[in-house]
Amino acid sequence: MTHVFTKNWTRRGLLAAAATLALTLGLPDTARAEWPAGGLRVIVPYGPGGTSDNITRAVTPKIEEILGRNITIENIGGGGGVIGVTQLAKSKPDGLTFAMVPTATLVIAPQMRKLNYDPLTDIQPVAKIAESYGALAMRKDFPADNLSELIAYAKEHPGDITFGSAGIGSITHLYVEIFANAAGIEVNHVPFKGSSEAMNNVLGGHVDGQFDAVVLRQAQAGAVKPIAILNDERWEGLPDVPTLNDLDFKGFENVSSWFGFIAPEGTPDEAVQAFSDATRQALEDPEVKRHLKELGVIPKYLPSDQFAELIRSNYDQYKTILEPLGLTH
Amino acid sequence: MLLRLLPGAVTLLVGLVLALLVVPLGVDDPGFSQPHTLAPHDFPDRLSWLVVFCGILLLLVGWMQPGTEAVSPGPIRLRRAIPFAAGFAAFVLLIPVIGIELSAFCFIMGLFLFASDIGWGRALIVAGVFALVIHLLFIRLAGVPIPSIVRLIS
Amino acid sequence: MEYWSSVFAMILDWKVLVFLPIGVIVGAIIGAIPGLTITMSISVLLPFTLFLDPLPGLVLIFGISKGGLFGGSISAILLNVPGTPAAACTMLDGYPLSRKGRAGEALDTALWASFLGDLISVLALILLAGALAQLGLKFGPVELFALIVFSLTVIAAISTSGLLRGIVGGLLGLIAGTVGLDLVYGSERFTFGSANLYDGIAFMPLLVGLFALPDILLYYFGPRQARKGVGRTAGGASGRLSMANFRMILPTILKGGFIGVILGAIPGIGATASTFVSYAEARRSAPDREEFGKGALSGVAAAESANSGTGASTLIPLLALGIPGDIVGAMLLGAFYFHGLAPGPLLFQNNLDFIHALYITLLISSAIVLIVGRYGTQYIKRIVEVPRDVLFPIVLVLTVVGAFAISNSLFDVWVMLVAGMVGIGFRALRIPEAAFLIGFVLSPLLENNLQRVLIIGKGEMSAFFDSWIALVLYAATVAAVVGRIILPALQEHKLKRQAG
Repeated sequence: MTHVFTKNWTRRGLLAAAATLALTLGLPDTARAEWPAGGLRVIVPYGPGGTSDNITRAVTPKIEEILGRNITIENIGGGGGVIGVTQLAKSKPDGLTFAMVPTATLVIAPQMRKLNYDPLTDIQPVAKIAESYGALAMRKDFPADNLSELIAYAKEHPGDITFGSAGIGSITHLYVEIFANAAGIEVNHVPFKGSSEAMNNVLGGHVDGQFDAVVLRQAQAGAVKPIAILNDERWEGLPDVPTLNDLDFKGFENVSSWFGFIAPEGTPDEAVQAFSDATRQALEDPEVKRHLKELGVIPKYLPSDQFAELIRSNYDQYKTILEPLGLTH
Repeated sequence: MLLRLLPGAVTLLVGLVLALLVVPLGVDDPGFSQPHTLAPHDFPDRLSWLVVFCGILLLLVGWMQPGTEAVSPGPIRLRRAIPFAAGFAAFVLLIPVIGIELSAFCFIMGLFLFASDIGWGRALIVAGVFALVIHLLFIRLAGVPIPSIVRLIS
Repeated sequence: MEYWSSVFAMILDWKVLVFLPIGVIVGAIIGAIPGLTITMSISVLLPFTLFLDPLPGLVLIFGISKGGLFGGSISAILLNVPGTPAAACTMLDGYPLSRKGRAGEALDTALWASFLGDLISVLALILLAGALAQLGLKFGPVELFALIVFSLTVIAAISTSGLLRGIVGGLLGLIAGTVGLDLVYGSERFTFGSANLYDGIAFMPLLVGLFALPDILLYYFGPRQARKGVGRTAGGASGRLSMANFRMILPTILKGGFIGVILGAIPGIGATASTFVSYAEARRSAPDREEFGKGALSGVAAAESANSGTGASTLIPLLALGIPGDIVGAMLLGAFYFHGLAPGPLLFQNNLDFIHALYITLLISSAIVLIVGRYGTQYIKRIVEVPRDVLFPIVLVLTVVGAFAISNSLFDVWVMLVAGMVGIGFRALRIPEAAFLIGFVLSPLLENNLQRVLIIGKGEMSAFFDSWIALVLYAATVAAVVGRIILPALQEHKLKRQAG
């Protein structure tokens, strides 16, 4: 009895002493930590040339200019982006390390597999930068020309329509499942390795349709049949193709494929704020805007707190999709 | 005779380890099944049993076929293999600690002295120049994210 | 007239004329250095090219990738270390030639095969892009599955130490190829919790470990040897390809070039798999087929011509459809978009002058590869005369750096070392490493397409025969199995009976 008491007391005493010591020495707590000077590092968790990399390279020169600091881009690919994000989560939260990540690495992959980071506790969201376009398109000779015909066809032939995706647990896979849930239809999902391979199979008529950004340019060239745009606004390359909103189709409200900057949890507020602000300013630059548009993404800034909220809500929403499919770990 | 049976025996053993240990333990069970697909362990499982089958065939062939076959990768001297392996491991493990330039320099120097008669002076020059080339080519020009002495110091 | 003058104005830009040879030279050097890969160097240069005009920027990248395709064969032949993954097949005969002191001939063969394969590829791109793109689209899961089944028969062709051992090697390779995330379930297979293995075992460390390390490790494990170079026997590296031998390998080169062109135009197959198909075909038909695996010039020619044959034809799906066929294609797509050029049918309508300028520079670059190779290899092949005790430490360090750079961690270095030990085991048991390699390369293609056929066909067996391309490929597979495996076995049996 006494023993326990003593132990408790001792521990409490130690804690108190430590706290006093910290106060007297003026040790800063993490939230008010200084942002050290020096160059910044932005991890891109994919090889060069992909969308994440291209976006990073389009905005960082402007951010460098605004912050007056050097930025080195480090491509750490592998594991579908997981390795790079793990490295970020493990980095010292000194405000010198950031990463550019797409949706799947934060809200899908961690639900499917045991990873070495928890997106809700180990990551400090900094700024959302952009959304990529998304569209649903069917192969050219598919026997339905618009959304209502497609849904009607699917109801007549349950499980017959095949949708290609960029892979299990990619955002393009979730699009398929969210769509099927929302429309109340049964479809057949065929995973490929990447958007291009899936697109190829739609063009060749081996699968029926695909939800992806890559279908847009093919639809423009008349090689596939566009059904709907998944974003809030129409794509200027195909002004006649309606959005799901226009068609009054519910279920895709918060669903999008986004890109954003993140930092390790515990990064000084000053650094997060400054980097986020610089990102916002960079996105207002007409040259940066033009570059992003050519890359097929829409610049859409969200500050740190709203970005964090988006991550949380996407995480919960996708959980309700992934769990019934048996895809959560 | 025994040597002739070795390839079959090793193959059989590898196949059995794969089929009975590695595949059951190494493949995560998805906990559900999708219609009309192979489960994640199906493909490696069938392949492993085929290895077992081939192992048995190799044993039979080894037993029935006359003539001996040499089974050896070549001469191995533990006296040399062990120090070399230790040196190699040290080189690899030291990269994150002291950077690629210094560890490469030490490793190459070591190997020159261990298995070459090019002499101290030339070894020093070759190793030094090569460490410099590595630095310029990989760190400076290609920007390979490998620990460099320059980055570790600063 | 005005049109062509605008095309030539684009080409006669000093930047194009300077970057093209520079790109080829840099690519050849990078390709030849173990540890530095073409993908790595293009990715370093890509951001830089974005600030150039479209043509000079793309020309620089093309130059590097072409030079690299050839350069990769140099280290494959001289050191048994492939400079690029696609040079894996070149090693199988190139290195044995080198050890016999015929490195010069092997390099010449590789050069001519590269040059002609590349030329065929560029001409195919110019003349047949549309048709080949359509043919590529016909290859869905069923057709790819049939193609991979056919390609697996290559294992019989390269099994120099008996078919059974080859099959064991191939099976082990197929199993190693399943490491990573499962396609349909996303389950982890043999990753044991490591994210480094999600995409499977990294190809380059495995390749280097299996092929190059055993020689080096055994050199240091064994008793001290007298100084000598890798290929320091009579003749050294000075030999050149004779006219008679050139005539002998020419049919192989042409065939390899066409195989590369066709397979390169199908997205998702890749240069490495194409080289093995060409190698198998040459093993069946080349005059020196008995020498395969021990140092046949036709083996080098088949591998290199198919390798370079894919060079320009991988651009076919990219340019004609806007779909990248491989990693470099994906990087190029980004570069095209960045310059406001969208590859695809519209590019041919809106930017035909650009396309024509691109074609002409591709033709010029083929010639540059030949010139650079012709004069460059004179110096570089002297590497084989460097004594092993000096060469091996340097190669070891380079391979370690290359493996480390893959994911910025020691993980792939250990993968390489384990592969090295496995390679020694394979040698001891005389299991052909090449069979393992083929299994490994084809494994994901085989399993994933099998899965897709099952999903799309809802498990019906008829889905596997629902395509005439697939039927032709199955027929070829049966013919290959009967012709290459069953008939020779019967013949041997008969001979033995007569002897006994």
